[in-house]
Amino acid sequence: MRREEGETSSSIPPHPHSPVVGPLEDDDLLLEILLRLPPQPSSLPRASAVCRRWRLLVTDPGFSRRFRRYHCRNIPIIGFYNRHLPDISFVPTLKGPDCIPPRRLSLQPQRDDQSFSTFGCRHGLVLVHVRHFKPLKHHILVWDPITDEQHNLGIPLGIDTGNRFNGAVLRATGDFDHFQVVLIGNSDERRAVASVYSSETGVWSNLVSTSTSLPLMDTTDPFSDWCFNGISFEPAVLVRNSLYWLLGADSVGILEFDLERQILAVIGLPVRVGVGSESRSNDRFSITQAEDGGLGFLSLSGFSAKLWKRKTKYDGIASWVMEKNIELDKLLKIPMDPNRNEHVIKVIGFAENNNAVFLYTKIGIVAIHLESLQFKKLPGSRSVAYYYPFESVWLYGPIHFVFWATGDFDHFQVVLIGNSDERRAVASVYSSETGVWSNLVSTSTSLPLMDTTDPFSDWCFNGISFEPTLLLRNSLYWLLGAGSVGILEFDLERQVLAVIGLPVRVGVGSETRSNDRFSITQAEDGGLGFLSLSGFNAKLWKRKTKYDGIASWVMEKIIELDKLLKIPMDPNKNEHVIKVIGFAENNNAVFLYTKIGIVAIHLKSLQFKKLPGSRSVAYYYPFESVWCIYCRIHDRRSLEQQARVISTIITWEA
Amino acid sequence: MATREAGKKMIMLKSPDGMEFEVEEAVAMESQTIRKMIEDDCADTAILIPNINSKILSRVIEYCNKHVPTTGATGAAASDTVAPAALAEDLKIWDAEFIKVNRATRFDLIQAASYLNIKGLLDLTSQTTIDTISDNSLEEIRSFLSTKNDYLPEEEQTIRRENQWAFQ
Repeated sequence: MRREEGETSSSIPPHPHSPVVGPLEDDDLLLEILLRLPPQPSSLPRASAVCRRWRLLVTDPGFSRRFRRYHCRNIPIIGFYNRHLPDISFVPTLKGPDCIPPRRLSLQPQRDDQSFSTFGCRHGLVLVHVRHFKPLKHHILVWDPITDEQHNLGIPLGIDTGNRFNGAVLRATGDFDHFQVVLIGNSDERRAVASVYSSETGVWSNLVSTSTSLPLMDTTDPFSDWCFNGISFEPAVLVRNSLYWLLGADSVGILEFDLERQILAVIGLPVRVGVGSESRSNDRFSITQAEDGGLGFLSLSGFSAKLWKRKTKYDGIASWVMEKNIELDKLLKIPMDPNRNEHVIKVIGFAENNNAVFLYTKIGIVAIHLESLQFKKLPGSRSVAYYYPFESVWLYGPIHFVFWATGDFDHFQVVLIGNSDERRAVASVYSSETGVWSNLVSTSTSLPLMDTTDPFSDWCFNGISFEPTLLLRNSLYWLLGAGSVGILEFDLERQVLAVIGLPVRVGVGSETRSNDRFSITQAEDGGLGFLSLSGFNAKLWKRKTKYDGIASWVMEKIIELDKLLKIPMDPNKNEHVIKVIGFAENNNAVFLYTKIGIVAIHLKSLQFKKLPGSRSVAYYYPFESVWCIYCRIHDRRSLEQQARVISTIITWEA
Repeated sequence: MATREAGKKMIMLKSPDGMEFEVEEAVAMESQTIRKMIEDDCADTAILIPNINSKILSRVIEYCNKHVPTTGATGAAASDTVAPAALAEDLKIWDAEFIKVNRATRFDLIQAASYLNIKGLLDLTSQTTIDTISDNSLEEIRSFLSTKNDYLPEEEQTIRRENQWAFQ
């Protein structure tokens, strides 16, 4: 819209939607509003119960990403995981409708000889160490407790040395599709080593190790006498783009892994800690985030908590500076009892998104926000095990809650049919849910079943044809061909395989490709149907089951194709040029090769459409699918509504 | 060329019902849609704003007037400087008063904010809408937002059962 001579006013482009549509009818605006729902767990499940449209919107992966990004600075602590072998047990911290039942987010071993422990959680994922005892083996599991997605990973050799190792899981900023796992261990030469797994590449990186096994002299640290003799079990803290682990037991210091440069180093502490002076000295310290967003450190001394920050000077040398001293007894109003041990305060966890430290105190477990110093008493056990806070936005992906069996869009089944050595038809079913193939199912007899009600019941089985299957109701049907005559039926529910005779007589092997004159179809009542071509006539049959349970073929309709399709007659040419080349089961349309091109005929309405494309007479496999913007739709009705839309993609001509 | 006061460029905004609003260019540029037009040199001194009636447009201009970055002593627009805490607090109180409007007006403002791409106003109006419903029951949300429950009873039951805790 360039400015032109003589024009006095310009206009901004009109709104793409009709102005009469309110904001709640406009998906974009409704999304803007729903995005601002609080990040608490109950928000999206509740919103999805308002109506179908809301459910479709909030379960859309695109919305999930935006919702996560919108709330990235305001992620609630849903609860925490407890160090409680052999389970990964969840303790909720939120109240009311946001209080998730522990069972919903806990992980229990499936077998007696299995034990789970965790290295911590981040970005909605939990890193689990899975140990088996019979036989003795172990691996790493990345678990999304909300969706229950699980990824099993082997442990790289350089980490799996028999010494204790630790790890961390994370997602790169803004990348919600992939994750990284960093494992740290203790090499044979008593160095710290690290390896990084990326779910994007699916491989572990080469081992990275600290540059030297000798303490680096860090002259600016007053207590630079760090030493490394192994890894502790406390979880990592992610600060900016590095992971930090507090060393412990026989080691002193902080292990730093720079994710960007992939460098591993050890940093001294701001306070003096005797090596092995206390069995669990780490419960007086925590790595934190300083107020400037950099590395921080908390040390407890009596009732005072000192907050330090790591400051890098212009010359690149870093040192610890004290930021704040918190008098916990005053802040938490802990009643003093001179007869009791005062040193009862212990660090039992740190929530990095909320920058809150979890303390075990006389008055219970308390979470203190280090910046605002606001605090909250937590419910749950008074055990002093380590707490792994689970901070996450609750995204609505009800993956393991399947609505209706027929509305299962997460799993698929594969049925393969074949020809056994005894010239029987056999089938096996694979389910993506269980991941295994079923035992072979075969036709009950290799001899033709006498089906006296079928006029042409002389079916015989000598092998499988290549035509695709038709799914009707709950059975799959294959048209046999080549040396066989009949229809192979596989009942998915009862897992029974049978052969049905045809309504027309077909000589075995009489024509090289007799199947191009026939098609299995859907009858008007939704049951099994059959189409047979004879000259320009297409006969439609349906399989009718009588009250006594005996089924037979009944002719439903004769379609005069020459008249319907207005095929010009040429007495000098072969009339039998019409061939069946495909069937679209959702649309109940047969694809025919004719003189005038390839035609799709809707069998109920007899509307037809000439199709573009080649005139080859190979078999056509129609690809019918709803174009899903929503990758997970558990709402069968809404999918059915969309499925109806598919019929309009092929527009029928009268 | 409508220029007024010490060198401040003025822009005329016209609503489809014929009203005209003369505003400083900096105020109009609170709208990213208008800013882009001006920066791409696609704007005349008068810009027609389709779809937004004069009543809503005047409220939008009122919002932009309040939220336009304060001009420094030199007169140059200091658009990148963050308002000091006191100013931010003042704006918050002003916003709270500004958004005390009926539901229809608020929805009109959401549409206008989205259409004109005014992030602050979209935040304010959408967040207010969410805040008014977030503590309510599903039935109250539906009636407040005139949204029809199109679930079958057994479907709604299944959805509730799926995450039963969220409905306690």
